[in-house]
Amino acid sequence: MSQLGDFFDNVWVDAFWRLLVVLVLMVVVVLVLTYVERKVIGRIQMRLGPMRTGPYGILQPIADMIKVLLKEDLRPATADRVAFELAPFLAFVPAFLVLVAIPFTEGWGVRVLSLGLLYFIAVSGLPVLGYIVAGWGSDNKYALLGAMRSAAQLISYEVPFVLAVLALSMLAGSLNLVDIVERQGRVPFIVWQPLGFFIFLTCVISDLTRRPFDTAAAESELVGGPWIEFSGIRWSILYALTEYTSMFALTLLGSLIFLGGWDWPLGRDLGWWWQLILIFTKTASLILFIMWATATFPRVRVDQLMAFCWKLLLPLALVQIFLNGLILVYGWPDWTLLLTSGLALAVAGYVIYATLRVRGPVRTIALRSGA
Amino acid sequence: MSDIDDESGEKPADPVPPGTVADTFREVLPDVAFAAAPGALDVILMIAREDVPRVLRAAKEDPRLDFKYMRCLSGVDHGEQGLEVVYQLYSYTHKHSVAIKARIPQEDPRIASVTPIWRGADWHEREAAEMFGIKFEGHPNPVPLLLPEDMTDHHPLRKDVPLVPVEEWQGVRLGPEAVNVGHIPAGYERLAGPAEGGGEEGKE
Amino acid sequence: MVVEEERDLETIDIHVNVGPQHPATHGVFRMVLTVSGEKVVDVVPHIGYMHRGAEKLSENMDYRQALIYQDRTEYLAQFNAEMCYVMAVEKLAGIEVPERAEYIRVILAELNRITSHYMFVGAFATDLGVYGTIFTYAFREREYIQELFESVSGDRMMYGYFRPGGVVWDVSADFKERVRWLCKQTRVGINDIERLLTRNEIFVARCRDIGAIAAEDAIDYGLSGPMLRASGVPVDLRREEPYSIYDRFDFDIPVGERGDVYDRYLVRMEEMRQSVRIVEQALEQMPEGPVLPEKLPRRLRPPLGEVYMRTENPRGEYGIYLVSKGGEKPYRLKIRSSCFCNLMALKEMVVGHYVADAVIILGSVDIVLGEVDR
Repeated sequence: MSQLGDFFDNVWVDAFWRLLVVLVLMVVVVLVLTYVERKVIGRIQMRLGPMRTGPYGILQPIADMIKVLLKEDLRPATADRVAFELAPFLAFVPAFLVLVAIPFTEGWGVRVLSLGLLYFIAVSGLPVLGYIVAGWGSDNKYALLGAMRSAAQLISYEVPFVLAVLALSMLAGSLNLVDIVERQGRVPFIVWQPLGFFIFLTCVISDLTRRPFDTAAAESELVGGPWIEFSGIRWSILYALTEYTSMFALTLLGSLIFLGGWDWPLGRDLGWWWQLILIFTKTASLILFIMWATATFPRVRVDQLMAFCWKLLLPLALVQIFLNGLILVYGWPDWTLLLTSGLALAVAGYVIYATLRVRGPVRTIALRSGA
Repeated sequence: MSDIDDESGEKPADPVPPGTVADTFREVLPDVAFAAAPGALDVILMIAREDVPRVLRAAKEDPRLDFKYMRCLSGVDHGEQGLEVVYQLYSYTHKHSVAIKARIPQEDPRIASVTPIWRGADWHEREAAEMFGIKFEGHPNPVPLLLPEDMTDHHPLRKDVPLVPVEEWQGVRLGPEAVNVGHIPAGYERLAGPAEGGGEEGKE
Repeated sequence: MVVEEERDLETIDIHVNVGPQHPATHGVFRMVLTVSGEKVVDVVPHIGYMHRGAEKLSENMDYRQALIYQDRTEYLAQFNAEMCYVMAVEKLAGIEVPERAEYIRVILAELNRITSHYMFVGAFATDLGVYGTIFTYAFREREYIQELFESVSGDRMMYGYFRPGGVVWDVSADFKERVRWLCKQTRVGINDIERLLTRNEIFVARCRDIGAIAAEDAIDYGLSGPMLRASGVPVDLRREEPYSIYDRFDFDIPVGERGDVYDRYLVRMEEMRQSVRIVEQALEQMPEGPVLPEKLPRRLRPPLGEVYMRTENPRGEYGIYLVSKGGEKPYRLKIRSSCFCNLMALKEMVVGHYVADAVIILGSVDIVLGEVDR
């Protein structure tokens, strides 16, 4: 069990300034991510992205923030006042709260919770409430339908997410995030749990409602989803803050528990600056991967979305838990983990491929000239 | 005047050479009067409007004709000689094509609808109905298609509806003259000019 | 005794109005879907928002002036529409077209088919939610061809380059090289896009077995073009009723099996490749010479007569029914537009699918509202 050093004697002041640091970090990260997303997606689409606001467009997020703050705050007259005003916060606050439990380096985080992983999972499931309350409070049947769909999607994808993470904590033997990172030592858990990582990453993309899983937001009855009636800063709390904060938090978690966090390859030897670089590099690569997927894939239809979760991801997650259990109970060596998990992932990939396999191009009828 | 005379069936000899689809038609329906003429690309057959449902159904269903594909249905306004409905048909199996025409008088522009025969005639007939005022009897949904749904009394493609320059634009008179086109849609009466009692309608 | 009570579940069908302002780039089109739960039970398309009276206007212009309405009607495959119109006038007036003009027309028409299908792929992928990646790729490729069109005709969209009798002026000296380069580049472009879409599992899952229409129904509704070929009917007007010089080229016709959205996409992609083949062959065979006949009358007065000229446009069979009564202006010009007829089958294809699929099916019909409404 490692201890995080206290910088102030007074526990409350100490906690306060840690929270402040994390808050500032989060705001900076959100601003950076809005810019990075537009540039990255633009480049994948063979265009430049923002270029005019500041050199290479780096002041674009500031411009967006100013625009959003100056927008008129519309509220439908028949909307439920309390629900309408509460909803964005219900969605955003849990997304920020998860950052409390994350250890950024070996010695620094807001708090080390011995049940950190459990806290993370529990709190990251709360934004669903915000969606439902938003949909209900808008007094708009399309918003309500969109909210129901979003809620269905988010709740469904929580299940394999939790199971995959649980499978991993079985290996680590602890729910304490610092312990999990330290247990990885020389080999990050992605090597032992490729299937778990695949499930985790898919569920992260779905939790963020990004393409290919953005059915709820983009196509609920071809209107905008549960947030149609929101505008200006309220909408931005949801879209910019919540989505990018969740993205940041979930990818941080992924890099901590699967990619070795701040410890691998040489974290403990080189000190906190190297650990910071490591963790942010890993987080950044996961974020870039998510953005790449967003720019490339078409949308999945709602029924296909649900089928994918319940018929494929959930059984796979259960298989992963079962395999982990078997190996731990019988004390088999670690490489069996890699073997079994990798095999299960290969089988899953083949199943997806085979069900959708295209049998080749259409037949052509050759016609010769003069015929 | 088209190069098909109205006196169908009274011509002593067809200018169409033998062995074309006109002969097949005569074989299939010997009691129907066809006036055949060669067109630039297809054989043109002229029939009376009462024969339209029989002939066209036979055209589709008889295996010697097998015109399963109705390409086009147009209305033409020939002035005093009446309106005309032209059906362009094609058969994928026999690879022959034909154009069947039927004249209908201006005062009584009714003709049987062929939508029960080819579902693809649906919108063509709606368009011909709204543009020329032809009533297709038996059409499942005779609502104007391209024109506004309530414009049922104005038929733009008729020759007696002239194409006039736009002199009204959103209620502001632009030119010195206002030509009465004879129809003002409901709600637009305020555009009517003071003296003639008519107004512009704008682009059709 | 157990008495069974049947309780009727009261469900209300919702009307979802799609359009006239569309999220997808198809123009002003409105369809009212009646949705029961998630499935569509009825579709009523409303068209006519873009009706500009091209047919009536053409009756008031002479034959050369009426050409411009063809561009404005079918504004994504302009050369194909112009070709149909000028051939109709030539058939009526009995004008012979010089060889070089025929080859130029065929090359430009096939390149226009390629640009039209690029536009289809871009818009279709955007409907699916790819959010613009395929769109920018397709438009980059399309832009290369657009530059050629601009250098040939002087305009980027409303070309007005064909005339009854030929084309209005000859092409530049570097035309052949540019077209050769375009053929190579188009092959690369098609492959780029296909690599991203064709075997993508999500793409296939969204498009397979959606909006299928059987061959007999397709013929009955008057479908034509890629929609008909995707349903399994091996018909291409360039071979069925050859016009211009298409019988001098070797090319294949792609034919689908099930008539679903995926087959239509595959048929169009393969058609692009075949168009490249035609263009290459035409380049080889193209002779020198004049592009307009020497004895072209200053005022075109075709004799009495009528003609229904049909060509294979990228969207299907485009027909011009032209009636001439000997004057300078067409007496009746009816445009048989391919998308107008293809849209009639919309209800048949959409009913029974989800709302999300309705957008995809509409995208696969590849409508151009200018042509539907004229």
